[in-house]
Amino acid sequence: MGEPISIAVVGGGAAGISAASMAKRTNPDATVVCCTEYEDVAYSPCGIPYVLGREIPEFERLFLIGPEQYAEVGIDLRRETSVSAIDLDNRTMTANGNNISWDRLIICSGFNYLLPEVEGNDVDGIVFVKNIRRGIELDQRLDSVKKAVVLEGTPLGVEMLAALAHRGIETHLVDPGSWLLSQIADADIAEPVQKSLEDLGVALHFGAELEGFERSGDGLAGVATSEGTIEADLCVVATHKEPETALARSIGLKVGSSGGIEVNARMRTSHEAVYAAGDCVEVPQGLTGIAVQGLTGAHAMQQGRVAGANAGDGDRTYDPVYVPWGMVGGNVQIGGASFGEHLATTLGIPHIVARANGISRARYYPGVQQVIVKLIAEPGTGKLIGAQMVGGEGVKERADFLAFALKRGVTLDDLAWMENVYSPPIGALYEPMSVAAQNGLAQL
Amino acid sequence: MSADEIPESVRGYFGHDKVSLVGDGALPAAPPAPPGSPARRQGEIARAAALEAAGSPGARPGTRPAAIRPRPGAVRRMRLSGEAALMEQSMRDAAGRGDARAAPHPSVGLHWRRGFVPLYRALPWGVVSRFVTRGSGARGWRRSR
Ligand SMILES: Cc1cc2nc3c(=O)[nH]c(=O)nc-3n(C[C@H](O)[C@H](O)[C@H](O)COP(=O)(O)OP(=O)(O)OC[C@H]3O[C@@H](n4cnc5c(N)ncnc54)[C@H](O)[C@@H]3O)c2cc1C
Repeated sequence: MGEPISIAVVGGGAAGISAASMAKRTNPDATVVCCTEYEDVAYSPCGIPYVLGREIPEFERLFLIGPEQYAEVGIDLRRETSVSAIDLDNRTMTANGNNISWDRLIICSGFNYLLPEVEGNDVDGIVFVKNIRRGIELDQRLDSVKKAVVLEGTPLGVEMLAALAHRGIETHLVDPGSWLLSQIADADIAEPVQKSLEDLGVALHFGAELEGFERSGDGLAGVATSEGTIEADLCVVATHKEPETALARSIGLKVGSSGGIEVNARMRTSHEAVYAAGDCVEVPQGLTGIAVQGLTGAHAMQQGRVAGANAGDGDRTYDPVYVPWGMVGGNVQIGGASFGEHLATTLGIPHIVARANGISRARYYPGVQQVIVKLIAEPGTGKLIGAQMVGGEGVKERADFLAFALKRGVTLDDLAWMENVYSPPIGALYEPMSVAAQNGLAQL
Repeated sequence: MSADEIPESVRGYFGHDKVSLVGDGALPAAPPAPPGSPARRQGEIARAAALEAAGSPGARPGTRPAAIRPRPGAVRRMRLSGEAALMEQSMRDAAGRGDARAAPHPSVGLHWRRGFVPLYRALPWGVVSRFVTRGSGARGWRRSR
């Protein structure tokens, strides 16, 4: 039996919902209230770009649980309920004007897209992909869109480029960086994705700074950039994910160098009764200890579980992160873990690059695809510090594996001699990661 | 396998109408929420409501999930500018070598590019990493399990 405490959760995204569920599971006697501004919970925002691109036939498929199922397990879920104030002394919060008491609070307020501070940023036609209902509205609007701009080649930006192109819309990317996903990926790894998007008809404008949005009547007419104006009737803003910390800052919680709420390994904030999780917090990168923020839905969900368990009087810790990532850009899979060559170079981390062009199945098996693997390792010791991959298939599993391997401190030597599955339809005799490691050993 | 036979741990974690029924080789499949399930019903409600609202004026939840960055404190300001300067330089170098399609658009002032970047790059990682971790490190964590 747990203590009959009250736990309040702010936020109904991946972090908030998993925090509320885990708190109730850890301490069934606790009263758990979860407030979200949005109309829905327990849907996958990650699927929205694919419905917009017509790869998933309908939005209904993205719903995972009905709201009444939370009531069945004893969670008081309050939708369209905005938390406007928190009173730390009295341990209450104000939600839609009502007072809610809590013994433990979990803040999972998530992220906002960074709003470009330029002329015309309030024009109708500038859209953001986040809440599913607004996604459904956007889907209808896309039927009449002829030309669109996606602002920044972030993971969501890349997904939206393909989605809009699939809809037959003339699509442009505007990005101040030098290549796609330049905050995480290497130029050579991004190149096949760029080519694949261009094959879909997408125009990529790199090194281009947004200067403003041009109006025609109430709507958008064009996107002005340092490289000229692009005519557009829609602009999808897919900028950096800025942590939403207004409530946390209002009660004096510490915010770190990345802008995320500071938490410890138990996801507890600088206040003993307040936990936080998801895109509003920062956590350490495993190799360097540098605080990172705005990771993935998978990270948000796990962090929420840890925060929920601890708020419910359990005892769980969250580990520093090695951030496996992966996605499909155009028709190509791209991914990695920890540092790529570009980030290691940027930070000045000494490294060698071990590379292999491998294949995903036996070379004679139908559907075989190239898989390019780059391993980044410490000179001398060969200790792995990161990886990048691009290919036709098999990127996700390798990214997950390499993130785990990084956590366990593996070396190129370990990977060069690793065991691997060989079965013509699912794997080649030579595992590309192992071949890359063997190539790297010569450079140590 | 019926939904009732799915272990409670799995059902609790994912929701029982996500993990259900039977796939190839009698393995449990994970189809989307089946018609009539609470999740599916909620999806239909959401879709109908969104389509009814579509095109009508007024802010709705999540119409503009966007924000201007709150005024950063000194540490965050340093980190934002330092990281941008270093990253842009690394992209400029790649563009100079012909490895990138364009040079990045500069977002930081010349003093960051001409002063900070060469200074940072002149220092060995062993020295720099201590400053980086002190300035930008997460607090209150063990390095790993
Ligand atoms: C279009 C899209 C595609 C994505 N694709 C992927 C993917 O492919 N893979 C992946 O891993 N992740 C993906 N994500 C996940 C995403 O990148 C985030 O990591 C994840 O959404 C973070 O979850 P969160 O719960 O921390 O925050 P959020 O999802 O931002 O949720 C925040 C919640 O807090 C609520 N809230 C905020 N302030 C208040 C307040 N004051 N009162 C009440 N409620 C409040 C909001 O209503 C919302 O419910 C995608 C997200 C989107 C939007």
